Amino acid sequence: MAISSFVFWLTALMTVSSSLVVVGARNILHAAFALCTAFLGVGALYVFLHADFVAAVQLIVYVGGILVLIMFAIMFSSNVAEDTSAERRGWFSMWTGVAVALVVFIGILLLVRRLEVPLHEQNKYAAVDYANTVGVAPSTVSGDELALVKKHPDIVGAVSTLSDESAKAEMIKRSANPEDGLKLYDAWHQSKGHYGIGHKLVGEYILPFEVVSVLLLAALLGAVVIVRKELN
Amino acid sequence: MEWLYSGPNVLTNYLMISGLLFACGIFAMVSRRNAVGILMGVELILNAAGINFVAFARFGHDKIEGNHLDGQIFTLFIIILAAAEAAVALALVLAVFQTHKTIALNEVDEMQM
Repeated sequence: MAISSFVFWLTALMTVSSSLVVVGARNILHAAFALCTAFLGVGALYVFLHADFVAAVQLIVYVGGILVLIMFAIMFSSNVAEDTSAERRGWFSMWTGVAVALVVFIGILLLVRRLEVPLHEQNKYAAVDYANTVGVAPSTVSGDELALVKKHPDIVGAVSTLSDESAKAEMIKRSANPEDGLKLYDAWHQSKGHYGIGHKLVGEYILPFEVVSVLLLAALLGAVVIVRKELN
Repeated sequence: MEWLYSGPNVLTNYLMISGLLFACGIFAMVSRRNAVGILMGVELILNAAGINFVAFARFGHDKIEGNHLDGQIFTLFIIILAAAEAAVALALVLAVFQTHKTIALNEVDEMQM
């Protein structure tokens, strides 16, 4: 088995088993610590999916922010040394939970089994990874394209603030002939990653971005108003 | 067995993992009585949704231009919303604890003390 596959299944095992501890632990503080491992595992899965920026945000916001908030809430609101009988779940709710979760999971399982994406043709990037992993002759993506982009720093730098369509036109205009321009555009478009996220976030998604900032402010104020002590 | 040997390059593997996380979250939401425990279930469900978005963005159709980044941006928004939700919900938990002296949800059954 290839080493990346082995690490992947190890990560998957870590994520799933620690999320089982999250839902099963009697002591709520143990559940919080297991939640930390589950968040780390999900971040590792984002890295496997080549979403490095999302993985970094996952670490910063979930592990650094939400988990600390949860720990604070636990320590402020309950006696962590012993679990009180009121917080322990009864047999009825336990089995209801198991039944509902099983039904949901079997539903997901059936849906996923109906999804027929051919293993080799899922995506160009995935196809290259696949070829590298199992030893099939690699196709022409990835390495070649990255080299092509690095060979033309002046053109790539000049189009870095443009939208995709105008970047394409500009690259064709600046290259020696149209075919080279198109090739460079394809390579550039596939190699940009983080740049693309930032570009989309303040371009195409500028309205949701601003709405979310207002929502964060509202949530912050709401949290302060809710927990403040009444002065009368 | 191909799915086993090419682990990180198969879409359905990610979908199964996120399905398991989702089921765990549902189980916590249904069966836990501790309010913070229910919140943890919600966080697991949001994480499962995030994995699905990024996985479909990576393995989705290549022809749609720039498609492979839209899913990642959706996941970023999910993470931001989860942070806002956690802040408000934990403030609510603390407020409930101040008035009722417990956060076991089966004992918190009146709006006002």
